[in-house]
Amino acid sequence: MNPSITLSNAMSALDGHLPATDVLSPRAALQSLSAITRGLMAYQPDTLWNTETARLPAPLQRLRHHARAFAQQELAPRALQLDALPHWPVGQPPEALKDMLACAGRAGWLTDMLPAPFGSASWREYRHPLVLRSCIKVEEFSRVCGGQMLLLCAHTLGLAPILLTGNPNDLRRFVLPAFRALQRGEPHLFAFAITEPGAGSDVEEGHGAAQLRPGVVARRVDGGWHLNGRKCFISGGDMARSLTVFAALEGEGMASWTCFLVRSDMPGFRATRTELKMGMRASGAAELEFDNVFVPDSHVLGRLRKGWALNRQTLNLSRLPVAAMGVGFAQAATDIALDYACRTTLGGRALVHDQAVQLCLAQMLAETSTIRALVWQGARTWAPRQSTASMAKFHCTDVAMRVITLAMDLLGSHALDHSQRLEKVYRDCRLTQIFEGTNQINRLALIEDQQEELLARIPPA
Amino acid sequence: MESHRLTSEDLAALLETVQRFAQRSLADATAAPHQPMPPATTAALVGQLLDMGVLNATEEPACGLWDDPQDPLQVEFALHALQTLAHQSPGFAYQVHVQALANLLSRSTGAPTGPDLVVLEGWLGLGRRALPGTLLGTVSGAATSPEDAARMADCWCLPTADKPRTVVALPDWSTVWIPTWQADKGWCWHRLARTDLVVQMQAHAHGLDELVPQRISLRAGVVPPAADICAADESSLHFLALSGLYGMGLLAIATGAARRALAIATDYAAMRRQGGPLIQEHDAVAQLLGEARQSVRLADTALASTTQPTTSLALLADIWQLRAALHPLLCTAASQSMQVLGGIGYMRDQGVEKLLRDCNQLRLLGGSPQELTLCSAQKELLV
Repeated sequence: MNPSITLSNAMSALDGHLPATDVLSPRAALQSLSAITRGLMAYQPDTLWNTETARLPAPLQRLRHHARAFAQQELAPRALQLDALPHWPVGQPPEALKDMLACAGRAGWLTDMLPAPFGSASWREYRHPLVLRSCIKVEEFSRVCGGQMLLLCAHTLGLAPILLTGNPNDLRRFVLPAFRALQRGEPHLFAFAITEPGAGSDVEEGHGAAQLRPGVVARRVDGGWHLNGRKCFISGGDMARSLTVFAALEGEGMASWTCFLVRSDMPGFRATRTELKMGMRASGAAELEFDNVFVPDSHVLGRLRKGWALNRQTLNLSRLPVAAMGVGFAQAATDIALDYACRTTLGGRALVHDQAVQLCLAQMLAETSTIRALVWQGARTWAPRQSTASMAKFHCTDVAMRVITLAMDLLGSHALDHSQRLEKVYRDCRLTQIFEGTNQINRLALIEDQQEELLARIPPA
Repeated sequence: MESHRLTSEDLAALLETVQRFAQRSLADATAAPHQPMPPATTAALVGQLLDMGVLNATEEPACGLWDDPQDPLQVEFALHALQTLAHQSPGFAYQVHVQALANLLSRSTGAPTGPDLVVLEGWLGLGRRALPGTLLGTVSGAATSPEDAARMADCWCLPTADKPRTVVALPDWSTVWIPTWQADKGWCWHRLARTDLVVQMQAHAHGLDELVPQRISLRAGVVPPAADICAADESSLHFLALSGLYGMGLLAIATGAARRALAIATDYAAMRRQGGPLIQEHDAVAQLLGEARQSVRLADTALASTTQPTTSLALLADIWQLRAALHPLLCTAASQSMQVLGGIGYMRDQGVEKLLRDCNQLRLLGGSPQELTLCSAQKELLV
């Protein structure tokens, strides 16, 4: 639904339906009832996008409008081009991507985690939970381009551990200078580095982590730590200037995980490669190498051995935005299908007049609206529960793939055409069922968080 | 046309030949899944199949792919061969499938055989539920309402710039068979030379990376004659027969692709540990693999039951129903296989993501599940 769509004349109707002006139409019939009833029940036709936006508080309505406008103006024109480019070498992103990042920085989309004057969020917006604001933004960006969205959002993820430590000194030293640079249009991005080769899901849940041999290890040296090892699949890791890197202390297990702030210009740090992915191609998934990278004590975030806690809290904050990605992709697919059904004619008649097409569109609209409601409901808190975040993540992304599949079925072989954008939406969305913990891990995370309730239901032996 | 009935021994020997070819020549060429097999390599490998007689481009029927759809053993051979080839390269299998069908049509109509293609989809799918009425009887359009006739004539018109047909094939070809439908003439087959067509190569494809999607439309001023033998009734029968074989082939190729994805996932699950045990021992993974296996098994069973030539709308509708039910399951099986690999599965160098894209593309070619369901429901109303 494009908010700028001009609604059609009420005299016309789709096949199989009455025009809104017909005496038997519910809306027309309402006019024959009393003024009080009309006052309570009547409503004006509007797009679904506007109807749903109106449910948000005013500052978030504005945020939604701004996010859509930015996505349409800056992300949409670059989306197919960036998706189709040959795989670019590490550290050599295309100009189109650098331009987009500069625009996003100047527009405040990379610094909106904090209110002005530190960041770019308005104080009115800031009264609403960070995760809800993030979900609104992520949905609109995903709707237009998964790859660019991921690059922008990976930066937020990279900042999350610093914000979660709540240490004003860390904010002053690490975040504010980067924010100033971003607002000038300089791309000082952050990245979040937890995944290690051969251990994707192990660091996403406690049971796997308990058995995991850490891949990146911090060795104590005079004045700080030497990091050694490798991380992989780090979103935006090839372009980040600052990285929140999780490493175990030498000789200890995952319980010793500690979060270090690593600069990309620190000697011994290197992004060695980026993966050739199915989708989300505008965002690199980097392999990072740490070869005796010296990190001073002043760059330990939180405290030693607090990394696991920071990681889990970050995931509670990041899984709802991943759910919102699913909503954005589902909305993208729905919008493409709606446009296609209305603009394509067969035998002189628009496809949307077919009942089968209407049923399919209705299903897509309902599924998308439902998962949006789940996200907005779950994100109306500053501290989402693990169960809420995980439930939203796996359910919304699974439903989103179903919606996209429905849209592809509706378009048939036209869905395979790159210029229709739908097959890109499919490829982009497929990642959301995997990252931030596979959807299987997230199902178990929901159960883990509800253990007390479940244990209480087991009758005593 | 002289029949070349196979014996069981012939079938076993032929399948072994195809298996050897797939495991040696084709496997070598597809060893790096993130690097699609170049067209020249694909064409050379198709040439090898021609030399081996697995693909028959001569004017005489023999024992090649789809040479004799009346022979259940030949059909069994074709379906197994396509699965075997698809296990290594679904795009390669698709190219061979379409070439074999084009050769069959050429032989059936007495046209010269060659490196032809055949398109079995209108510019907008199958024409939705209007299609079955045009295939019901021998009288063209007997069961077609004016509204359906308008849809069919639009969907199955001769390809124009704004209503092009799409072929997914190697870039180098010379002729293509295209069916059209008109209210006064019914079905009609056209054998169009490439020189009469505008061919636009599409730079990006969703799946079947080995091939190139190409939009074709008639050059301005070209008026193609219908093939000589193609009276409406006969054309309709050719359409029925080829559509059925095309659908069965698509299902076989998707089954081969999903089976390969499942094999990769099974191997990975037997190697990767998480939280101590191998991941195959976790219920979450066992469930994914189990469901994927069920889907492939169902497709196997369905394919084994479809060795009858499609000589009627009822038989074609059976294939529509099987495709509508099974393609989504096979896509899910490939997706579940990818899920077992987690993040690695999303990377193009592992091969599973390509198999998922291939399955997804095969689901949509020749009518999407939604459209096939509508068509088969419409057939029930008509018959």
